[in-house]
Amino acid sequence: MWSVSDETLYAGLAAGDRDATDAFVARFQRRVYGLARSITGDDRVAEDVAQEAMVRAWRHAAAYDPRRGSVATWLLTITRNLAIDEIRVRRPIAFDPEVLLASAAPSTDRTPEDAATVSEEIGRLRRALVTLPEEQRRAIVLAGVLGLSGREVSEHEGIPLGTAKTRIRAAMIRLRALLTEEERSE
Amino acid sequence: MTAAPGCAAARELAPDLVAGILDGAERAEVLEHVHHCSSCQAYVSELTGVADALVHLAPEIEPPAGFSGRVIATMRRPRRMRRRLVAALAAAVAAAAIVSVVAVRVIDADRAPSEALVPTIARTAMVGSDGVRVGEVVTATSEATALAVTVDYAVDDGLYDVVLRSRDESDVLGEMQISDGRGAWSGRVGDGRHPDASVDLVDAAGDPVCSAALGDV
Repeated sequence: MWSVSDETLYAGLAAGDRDATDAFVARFQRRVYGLARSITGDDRVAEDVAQEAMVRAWRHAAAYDPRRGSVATWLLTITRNLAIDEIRVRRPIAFDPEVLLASAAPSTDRTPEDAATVSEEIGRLRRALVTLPEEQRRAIVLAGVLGLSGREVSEHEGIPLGTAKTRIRAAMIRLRALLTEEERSE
Repeated sequence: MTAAPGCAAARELAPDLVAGILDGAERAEVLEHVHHCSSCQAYVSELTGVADALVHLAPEIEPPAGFSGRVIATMRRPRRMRRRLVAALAAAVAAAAIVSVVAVRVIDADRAPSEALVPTIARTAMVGSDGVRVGEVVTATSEATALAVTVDYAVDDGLYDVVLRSRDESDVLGEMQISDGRGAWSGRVGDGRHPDASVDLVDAAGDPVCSAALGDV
């Protein structure tokens, strides 16, 4: 099986290598579909979004810049943006931020190194998130993952605009402090 | 007009910037400062790393049966330009070149099918999100519509999707590579009519960067 890094696999996909294409889709499809499903809350829409995200990542492979983040982050960001476009046409936005915090099953199709790196990052972020007050956690997921504006977060949560902004800002500052602190202590 | 913020103000607003909740004016001011200040750049970069990591939180879910096969099939479909299309485009571009000196002849394709082979030419400005003209779209409509999209100003280099949007749907027509601020794409829209259509360039992240409103195509 393909025991290569995400970046190497992506390069193979960009070059049109058939085996790399199969392996790329197999490696990422659960993460891409999982994110699309979590944001849209609809199987059919999620499938369309996930398919479009994968195809777009393939077609734009030449535009990928490794200095700006990992292949996984790039692919999931494309997925998130497409999913947001889909739910923005529906009002009001029905989304439970806690859905994203449900524990993820470990993937069986990654190299041990990739799996360790990804789960370490996610683990750190999860540990940091659970230390936040629930209202801050919800606010940062709504703004940071769903791309809601401050006003939309305030409407979604039934709180004043100023309060929504304060929660988002506090959560960002706290997460950054917790993550960089943990990184330095390792 | 307010002065660009210093480090303290920029850092106070940086979390809002990264979370995407600043309004346009504040956003521009913070970006202006960050552009010239390496220590604030580093701070924003750390915050961006936090925001980017959030997408990894979603649970992994097995997609429906056949999903990977459909994705792979799309990736393997050959992309080629048909001869007929090339001929239509050559005609469209040639016609567009003389449109400024020749009165545009309006053809009602529905009522005069025999004459519908004479294309109706229209030019539409393509504008960026800030309203600045970045290029134009020339359409030549007969039985189908040929499009020639050119961009020559204020769009970052990179690969963009050329997307036809109407109220109900959006179709990716092709790709445009912009190099040194310039790019061109030409192709054809299907036979159907597209009420209130626009042609957008969409970047790799899925965000439209500029758009031309075509009306009925």
